[in-house]
Amino acid sequence: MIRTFFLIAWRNISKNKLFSLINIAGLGIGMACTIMILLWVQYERSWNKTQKNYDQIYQGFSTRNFNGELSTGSDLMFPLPKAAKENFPEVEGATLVSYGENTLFTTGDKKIKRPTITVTNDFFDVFTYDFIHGDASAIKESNGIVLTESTAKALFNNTDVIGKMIELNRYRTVTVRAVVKDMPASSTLLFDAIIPFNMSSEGVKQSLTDWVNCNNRTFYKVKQGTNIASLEQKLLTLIKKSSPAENPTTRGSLLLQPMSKWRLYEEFRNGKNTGGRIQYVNLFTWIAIIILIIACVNFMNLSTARSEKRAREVGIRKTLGSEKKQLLLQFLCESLLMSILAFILAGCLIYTSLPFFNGILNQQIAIPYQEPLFWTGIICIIILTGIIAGSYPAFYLSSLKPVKVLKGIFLPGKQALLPRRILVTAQFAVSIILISATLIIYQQIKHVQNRDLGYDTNNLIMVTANNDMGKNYEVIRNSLLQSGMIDAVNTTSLPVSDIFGFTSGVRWAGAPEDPNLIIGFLGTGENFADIMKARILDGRDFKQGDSNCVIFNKEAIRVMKLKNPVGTTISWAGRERRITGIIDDLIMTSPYALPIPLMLAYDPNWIGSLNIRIKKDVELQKALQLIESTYKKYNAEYPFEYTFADKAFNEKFANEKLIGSLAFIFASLAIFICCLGLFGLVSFSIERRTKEIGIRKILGASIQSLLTLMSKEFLLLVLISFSIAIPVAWWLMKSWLMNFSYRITISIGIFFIVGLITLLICLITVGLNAFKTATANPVKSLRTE
Amino acid sequence: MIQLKNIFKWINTGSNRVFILKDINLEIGEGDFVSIMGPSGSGKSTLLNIIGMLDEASEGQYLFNDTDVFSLKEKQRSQLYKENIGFVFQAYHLIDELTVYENIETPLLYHNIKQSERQAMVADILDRFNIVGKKDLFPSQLSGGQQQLVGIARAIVTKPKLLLADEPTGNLNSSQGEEIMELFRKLNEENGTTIIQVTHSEKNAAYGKRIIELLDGRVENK
Repeated sequence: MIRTFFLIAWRNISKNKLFSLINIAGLGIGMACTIMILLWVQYERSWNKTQKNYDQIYQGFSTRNFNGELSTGSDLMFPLPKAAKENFPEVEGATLVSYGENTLFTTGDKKIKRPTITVTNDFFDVFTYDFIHGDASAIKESNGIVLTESTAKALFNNTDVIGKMIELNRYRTVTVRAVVKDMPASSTLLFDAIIPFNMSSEGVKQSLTDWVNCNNRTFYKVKQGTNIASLEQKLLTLIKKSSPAENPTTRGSLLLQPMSKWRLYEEFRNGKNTGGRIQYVNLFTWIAIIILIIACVNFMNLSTARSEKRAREVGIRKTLGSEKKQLLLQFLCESLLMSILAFILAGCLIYTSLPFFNGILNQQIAIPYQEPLFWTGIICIIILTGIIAGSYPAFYLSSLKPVKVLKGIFLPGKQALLPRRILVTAQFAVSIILISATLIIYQQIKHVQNRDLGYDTNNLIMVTANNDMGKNYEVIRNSLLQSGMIDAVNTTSLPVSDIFGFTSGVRWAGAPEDPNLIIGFLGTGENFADIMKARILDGRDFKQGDSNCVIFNKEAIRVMKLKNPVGTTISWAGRERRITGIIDDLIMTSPYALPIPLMLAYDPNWIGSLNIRIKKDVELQKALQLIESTYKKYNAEYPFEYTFADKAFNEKFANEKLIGSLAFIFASLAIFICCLGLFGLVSFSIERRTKEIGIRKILGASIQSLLTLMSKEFLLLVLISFSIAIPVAWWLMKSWLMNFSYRITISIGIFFIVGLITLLICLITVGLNAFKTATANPVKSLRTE
Repeated sequence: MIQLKNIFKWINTGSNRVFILKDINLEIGEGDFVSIMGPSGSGKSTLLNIIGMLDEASEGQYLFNDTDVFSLKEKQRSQLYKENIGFVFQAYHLIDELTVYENIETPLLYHNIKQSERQAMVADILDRFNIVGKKDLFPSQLSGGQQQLVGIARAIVTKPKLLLADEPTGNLNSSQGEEIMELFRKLNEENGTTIIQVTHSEKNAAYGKRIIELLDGRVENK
């Protein structure tokens, strides 16, 4: 019997090609979206899961009060992990890990720069990796190093490289003691090599007893079932006991964040873990479900729209002895077949668009073909979709009375329209919310991109440099300037697009007793404002020989409450310094945040970045070649690395742009699916009114008036969904915008545009269908009665 | 076999109650061949539908082989229907998406008959009706008379005791009609199938052993 059900379903599908195409396309696109989003969600949730001690690993976070604002960071002091393990039996392992750095590897004449992490020698007590060669003892001594498979191949074309020597940063030589498999990209700790701290260096020796400065991350592996809250307290007490004096860390609080939360709950606000990426994961999980439901609703709409055709068959089957149950089963089989076909389409769509999707997300989501769970999930989606999509038409059709449907032409009643109207209204409400969200996200991004940064990022190249550069800086600068292609050159301690150091050590006469004043600082050479094209508000820019001079920005002066800042003396880092100028606020960190207080300190030898402003009309490629050759000539030992300031700045929008593109894609798809649904509803309604329209036409109605007649009720639906969706969209987007200090206010205009777009799309959809009926010969439609 | 006692059927349109059947009392025995006649709107089809359990009376009692049909639950009634009744329609009502063979096979599916048996039964009836060559055609490829033949074949393939026909020849020309009526007579005489047909045509009605005339929902003579 099932076989004949599928047979008749197949004949129905192939007989009504357009209808089936619309139906399967809608369902297939919906399914593809859902599966793709779920793949992404699954990927986000799978972060770090390759770690064997996944359930036992915690990262330490400290919440400190800076300038009256609670800020949470994972930076903690060097001796903490070791002391924690020695003092608390529930800590099975603990390690200190740097934030990651780019290290120059030299072997023979090969030079490459790779991201590395520097760790204490108990690192493998906490984290697990697959060793290809060597074992966890590799970093017990400071002169060992662990390479990943790909790094080993890059350096030696081989993974069997135990015992080979590598020079790090032209400064320290280590021996390869182990090679591990590359970790998946979905790991919080990403590195190409693990380097142990150099225990013989003075800096590290000092750190061993330094309980004040916090520069590294700490990780703990605790016993199963440990009371984390009490361990947090114990750690804080340990820090308080060990610190020589009160500082922001001892005054603050301590938090242990489980590994399962590292990726998705990375955001802290006012000392509380407020979520983060999980909000997007949850949001898109809901979007996935909603899109699938929209697609199913479509299926229901389109299927019941054709019920006149199928009603006769139901009647016949009932007179042939079919029970309601069997008819239900038949229609469910049919929708299941549709669902399977839709999945085949979805599979093709996913297969072709996954690289594109990965490109937008900048991630490597793969289809887990080998995963049985994946296939179970797929089968669940197919069956669920089939059942949800088929249930309403199945119940509706199978309950028809044979006497009624066999008597003559069966006209579905008005009451059958109501649930479909509600469904279409809901569909449109969702689409309108998505369209509004997309527009508002784009507006916000545009708004921030057009923000006055206080300096000019155009034609500004930042070349990575180090203190060695100081020796040849003058020569490099002069030869660049002589070329005529370069406007200006200067140095800063860090790239200007990046976060700089923060200090609480600025003191001045009459300073309020505010221990929480935190100011960002950046070391720079002369003519900083000039090359950055920043505005000096008072005083002057740095010039040569300005040692012991500083420049503050407007925000810094505001929080310091200085009356006549220029000429005032401050002390910082053990030296008296004079304020030579006030610069306008510079947006260097987050473009969404309010300006932060900033201090520029004159130090021409503190070089982390070479900033080069290229002349406006010079070809970039030529200028780059010149810079590279000059750089190589005078600084041959380091590879040439550069970024464009405007590009670096634009990268700060990556996350928001991603949300924007995703919202755009899903909004377009949702509205497309909705239009298919509307198309179905319109044809259903028109089918019901063919006779009425024929009569009206005979009575002299114009095509125009008929179109109005047929469109009216649908435009009403869209109007209703519009009035539901707008407040929701407004509220949702308002709370999204609250994430940014620098943001737009939502204007009424945007909703006006959304309304216009939706209306236009609907008119086209309805018009396509209604026009055919309105222009048809009424004799035909009436004769069939 | 069939006993109808004081059957009334009405529908409410607004505040008016329109009677379709008024106080029908009827007995039809096994092996009978009854023709129901009457003008349009006299209630013939409604009566046939009530006998065929597709419709319910508003009032009265219907005994089918001494079972009170109206007191049965939906499931029991459809079981009773399935086992005993076959239907033939004026508009044939074949399923367009199924071939002749599959159309005839469909009721057997609902009777849970095994595939090999089904094949035998369908082949047998195709042979009897001389339509073996048409078995893979779709209804739209057949003439009206052929479609009705398939309709009848489908109705009797399950060997029902009662065959109900609602103007079976209404859409056919006279020679096709005659062929169908001959077939009915043969079924009645050779197989002992009880037949009740609704018809406008005196000539076709005469094939029956008994004629019931309806007028405005009442039985005029038996």
